[in-house]
Amino acid sequence: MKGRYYFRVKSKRLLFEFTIRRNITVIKGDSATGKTTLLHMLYEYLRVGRESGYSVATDSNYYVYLRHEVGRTWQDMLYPLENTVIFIEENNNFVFSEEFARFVRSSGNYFVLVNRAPFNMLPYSIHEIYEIITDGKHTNVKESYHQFKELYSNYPVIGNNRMDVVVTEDSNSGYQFFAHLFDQSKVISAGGNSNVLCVIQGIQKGDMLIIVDGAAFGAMIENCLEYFAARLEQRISIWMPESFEYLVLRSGLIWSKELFEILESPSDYIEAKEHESWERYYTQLLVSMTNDKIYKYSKKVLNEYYIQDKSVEKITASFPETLKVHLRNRKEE
Amino acid sequence: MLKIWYYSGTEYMNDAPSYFDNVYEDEWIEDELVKEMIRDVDHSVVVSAHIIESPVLGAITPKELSGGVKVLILMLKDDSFIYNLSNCGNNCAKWVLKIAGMKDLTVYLHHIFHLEGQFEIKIMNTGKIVHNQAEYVNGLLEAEALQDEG
Repeated sequence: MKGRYYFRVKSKRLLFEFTIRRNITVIKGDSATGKTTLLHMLYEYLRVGRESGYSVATDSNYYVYLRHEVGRTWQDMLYPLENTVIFIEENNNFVFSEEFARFVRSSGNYFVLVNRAPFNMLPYSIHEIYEIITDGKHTNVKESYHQFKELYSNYPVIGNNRMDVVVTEDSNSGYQFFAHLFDQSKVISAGGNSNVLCVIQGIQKGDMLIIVDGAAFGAMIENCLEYFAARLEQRISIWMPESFEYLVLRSGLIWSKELFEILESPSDYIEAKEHESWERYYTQLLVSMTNDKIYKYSKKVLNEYYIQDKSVEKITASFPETLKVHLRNRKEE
Repeated sequence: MLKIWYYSGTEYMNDAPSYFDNVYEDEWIEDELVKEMIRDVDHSVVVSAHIIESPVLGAITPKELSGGVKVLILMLKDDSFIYNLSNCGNNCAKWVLKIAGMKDLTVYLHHIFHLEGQFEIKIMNTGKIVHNQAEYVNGLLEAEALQDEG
């Protein structure tokens, strides 16, 4: 399954509009924003169609799992589904199991999970974690309009101009690039996204910049942000581009019409069954597009081509402005 | 005092909103503190024990309250179970602390629920008592690390 899927879910009083873009979407946020109501409306329409009194317009097959049914396991209900957007309500603890994680990775379906707890076994993007908001502009007297809002859309936050220590999630090529780039800082590899917070906790001195792959950092982001907010004696900033490979692909170092089209609309190209997260897809794409070139990319050892001045200039061109200013200032010192 | 089991260590009520639908009593809804919680979290006004005026849904019954408010009411009124605080959004935080100021309240937590200010919370996994946001976050992460090791 790939592509973007639009939903318009309507009752006499409520209208929800949203688009699902990747294989894993998480809805959380405050109480009383309409999460349960949305799933109830979707479920009732699925059950009895127009007789529910609701309308659902979508270009996708969808399914709603509200709660355990007597005599049927979640596997009975979900395993037969293909090319389906599957909504799963809170309080279904199987979503934290290894078996469910395997199912998500292999089934090719899209999943919309309502839950505040992190899904540590699933690689989901910081950009697909939403809260439901009421949009006053679209609301009229009779109908209340609700849409999804990215919870972490305000990031990257780089309000930190010292960056004594840079921690990268990557351990190989990405780390080697950032170690070259931040040669006046201490650059440490966390060796994977699940180790990032642990590594940061061990660094007691100096302001920090953390660089992680946003495409698969969804489960870790909330703990990290809570920890940063509580760590008053150090300034800690986090930057979450999709991945290092994504930065290279969009830098213009590789010119290809196909690449341009893919980056314009990744959802249309990334098959959920083959790629559990977009980060993996971008790595594979970069490797395949440079395979027979002098700038052949390898995840394990960074080709020298990518740390030549002109390459660095192109890759850093899309960095956040405050980070570019920091790098310029460091160069002039 | 608020006592938190983080990620593990206790049995807890898995589907408290459904449980609430089956056990709530009229007098719970008529309680002034409950009325305030419903007004603050759900932006709705209790008209009577059976009718609540929601600005979005119109007239609703207690069964249509948000999951977060249902769990708050259960924490206040029904000590039969330990409830999952992760059913509550951050907009329930002040009410959780308020209820825990009135009685010992033990909850289960599955994510870092956002708390600010001064408080007294016992992290049951480690036995530590924390008093502010920094101690609380570090206390939960310590409990999580303990679980990973175990």
